[in-house]
Amino acid sequence: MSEPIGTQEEDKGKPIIRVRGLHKYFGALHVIKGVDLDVMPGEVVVVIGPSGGGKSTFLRCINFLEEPSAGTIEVDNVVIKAREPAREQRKHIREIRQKAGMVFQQFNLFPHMTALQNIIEAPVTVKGVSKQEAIDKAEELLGWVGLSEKRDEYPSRLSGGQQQRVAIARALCMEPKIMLFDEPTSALDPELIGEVVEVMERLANEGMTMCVVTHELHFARDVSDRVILMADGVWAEIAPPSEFFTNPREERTRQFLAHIL
Amino acid sequence: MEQFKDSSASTLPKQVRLLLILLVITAVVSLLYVILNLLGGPLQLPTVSQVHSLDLAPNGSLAAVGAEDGLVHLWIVPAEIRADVTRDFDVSAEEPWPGGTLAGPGGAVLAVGFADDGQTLLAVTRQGLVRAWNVADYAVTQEFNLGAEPLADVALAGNRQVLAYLDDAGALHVWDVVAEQEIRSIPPSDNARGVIALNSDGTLLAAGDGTSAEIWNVETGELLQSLQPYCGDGASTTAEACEEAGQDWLGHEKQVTSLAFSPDSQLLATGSADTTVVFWDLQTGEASWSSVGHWDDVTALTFSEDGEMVLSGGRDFKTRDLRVEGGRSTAIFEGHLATVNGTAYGPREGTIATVSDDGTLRIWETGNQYTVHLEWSRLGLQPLWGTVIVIWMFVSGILALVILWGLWRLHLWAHLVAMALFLIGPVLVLGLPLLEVLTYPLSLGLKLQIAWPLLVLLGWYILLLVVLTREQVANFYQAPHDASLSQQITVSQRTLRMRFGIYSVAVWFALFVILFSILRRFNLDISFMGSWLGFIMQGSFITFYVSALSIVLATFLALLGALGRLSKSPIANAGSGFYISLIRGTPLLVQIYIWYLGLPRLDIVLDPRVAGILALGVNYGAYMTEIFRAGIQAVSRGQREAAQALGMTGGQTFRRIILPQAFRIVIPPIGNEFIAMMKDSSLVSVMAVQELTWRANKVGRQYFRGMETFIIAALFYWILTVIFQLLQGRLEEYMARGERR
Repeated sequence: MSEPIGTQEEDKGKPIIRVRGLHKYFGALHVIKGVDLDVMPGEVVVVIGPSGGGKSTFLRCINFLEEPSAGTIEVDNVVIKAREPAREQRKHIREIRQKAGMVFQQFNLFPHMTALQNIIEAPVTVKGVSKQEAIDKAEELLGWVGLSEKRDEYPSRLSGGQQQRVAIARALCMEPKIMLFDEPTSALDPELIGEVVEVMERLANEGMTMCVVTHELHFARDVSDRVILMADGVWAEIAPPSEFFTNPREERTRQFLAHIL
Repeated sequence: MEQFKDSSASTLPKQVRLLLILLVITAVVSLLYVILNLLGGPLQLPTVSQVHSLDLAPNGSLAAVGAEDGLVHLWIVPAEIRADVTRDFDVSAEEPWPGGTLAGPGGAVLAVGFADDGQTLLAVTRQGLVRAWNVADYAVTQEFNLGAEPLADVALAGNRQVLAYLDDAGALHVWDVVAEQEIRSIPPSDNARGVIALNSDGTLLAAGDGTSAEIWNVETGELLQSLQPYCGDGASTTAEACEEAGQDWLGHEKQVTSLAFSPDSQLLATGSADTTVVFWDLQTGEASWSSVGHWDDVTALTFSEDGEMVLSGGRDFKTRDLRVEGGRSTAIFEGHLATVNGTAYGPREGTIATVSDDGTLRIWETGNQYTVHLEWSRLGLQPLWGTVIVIWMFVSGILALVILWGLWRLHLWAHLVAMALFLIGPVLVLGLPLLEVLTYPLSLGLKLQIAWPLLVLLGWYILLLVVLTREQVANFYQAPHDASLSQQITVSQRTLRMRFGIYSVAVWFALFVILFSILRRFNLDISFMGSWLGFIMQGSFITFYVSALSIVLATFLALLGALGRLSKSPIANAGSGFYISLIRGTPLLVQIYIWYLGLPRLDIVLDPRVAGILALGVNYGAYMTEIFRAGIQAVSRGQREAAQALGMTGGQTFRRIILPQAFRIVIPPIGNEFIAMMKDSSLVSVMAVQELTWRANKVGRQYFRGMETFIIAALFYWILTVIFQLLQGRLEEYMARGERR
């Protein structure tokens, strides 16, 4: 990999996410085999690919939910090298995590808290925001995701789509610089996908930097700036969506698209 | 069945028609039973009669018992009483001789006595009838009327020449039996006279008068002595003042309930509701000796012929053999199932006879006082049960008619009421008396002879119940056929639930009845239990707070232990492993002793309750560590990741996200641990923590009534557990609020 693909747009200003030489092993299993990526502020990058290709692991490496085996991660000027001393790393990890909101496939709302409590939990405990301030912000966000009337419901009384929208609001309440979406619609019933995708589209339109792992090709085609096909631990192709879906360069991409379309 | 020849009758399923016929029979038989019972007819169940008096023939060949049922029960004592024979009463020979009854309705026999020559048997009834028989041929030899009724108590002089009675106004009358005329009358006193006694030659009359006893000279009508309770120092006038003065209070604190003159008329023995027996010297009027040991009213007293011993029978079902000098009891005879109302020495050397309200006459060997050697029984239901069953039959008869009407008109409620009636009623009304009879110490054949009417009744109700709950019948009533399918299904489901509820309640009742009946057979001293209930109950507060504080400590330790076990730090992990291994590897009781004995050696002197809480908390903490570990691990990984992705630190994640969810998971098992701990807290009684078990043990040992006190303690443990289970349910509901849908 002499010329790392994924770094072409380096000249358009400083990237907010910069990944270099990322490797991830699970024991002897080599899941990510050295990838690089730069994401510019406001850019929406969608990662697609066959399951087991390392998409989710890549995303989780960005905020260190998985610890990279080798490489460097930089988010908004916070740099972490893999395998650096734990004490420094821990501080940097928490900085990155506050800058990078994450939305999970299984929503992972806290079941013992209401929608509102879920949203204000982190701002109050992590950032030390006053409770009233957090509540005002949370109510605004709930309105933004269209769930104002659900503020006092427990997650078990919300549908999957509603839970995921609360989860997005929860991540946004930390005022992140980037948002990481780990298959946000995969656990949803088909008729509920639309409401979540709609929220993600609005978020993209408002200029949020987003890194999305998904199977939702409509989102990739309509909203993203770049689409990445990840297979066998490496980028198989990176291209703008128009090119990616109509005229892919790589054979691997054609195979994948033929398979799922 | 005329009324069924109606057009609707043809549409009734076969089983429903059977049910209606059974109900008609139930109603008819029940009401017939009530009517015949009121007429004194033949359908009465055998009932035990209260007994009032016992006398043995001088040669020991006959035993006579006067009873409330108006009969003099006369038993022939066999020439040889073998030590290993228990003789059951033969029902077919219930009255061994035809003249065994005294005439007169309700003529309860208050006194019986054989004359000195053994030729004549004398009996006096409450109605004032006196009758004498010749023992040889049972011919009536004498009969006269005292001209007063009802009599409160009757006494016969030892020579059977004189009798005395206490009338209901409280006046005393003495009659010459031979001359059939009154020889002395003593007007009522201010107090309530309850019992009377005559000495052997009929010259002295004693009457229990409240807490004191009066001695009258029959010939002169003069009050010889009034045996009042008094203080040993002769000055204090109340029991409290006497106690303060450090003196003994002599005499009785409660009503005198039995009296007996010694054969030489030098002594009077008085038994009282205060459970003591006092021996008074009639010359000086002082209490010579007193005897404690009964746990309830002393109801019968008899001197031996030499005047050295007294047999006392009590409402505590026990008989004691007392040495007059010193008042110590030399033997206790246990085995009667009700108040002992008559005692006698004889019929042989080394034997005694007792008679009790349980309907038995028992003859005991004094050398072997704990064994019943001979027994004649006239067992049956307690009279109370007879009354209850008559009332039940009346209610069930009327209800059967109501239900019949309801079922005939296809009313749903009738079916449910019928099920409730024939489930719960029999368990309560028939179950208790049936168990009472079935647990008599008799052969099965005899039990069945007494209990067969109850068994037939029970069988009949079960038959009714089976028919009632047959699916065809239940469906027919619960889901009428003109209803829509959804209505039918709703009604069917509701019926199933209600039937489940009714059966559950019935099973609880039945098991309670069985438990209750077993406890009754323990011959418990209920009044003793009542008087110590409060003291033992106070222990339940201590039990509760010791357990509650221990569980708090245990929860804290368990949390630390679980964190240690889950920690990647080898120090925390190994420390926690050592704690769990040490505590789980040694018995709790041993740990308690080590806490108790070990702390003072380190110059740490703690209140025993604190030491108990430490011992229990540390022990349960080790066991609960595993529960917490499992609870923490059961919180999904995604929760931790979500919190971390939001930038929360490990501590924040644990406190705010993991712990609340883990707690919800561990609440039910912690509840179980708490229930177990409330019972294991009994072990800290060895540290002299004054909780339930300690109190039960202390009182039980002091009064030799361990069975009573431990049953009280068990009851309170049970109540505590039930209360806690209710609280636990509420707590779980609260903790699960996020899970409710």
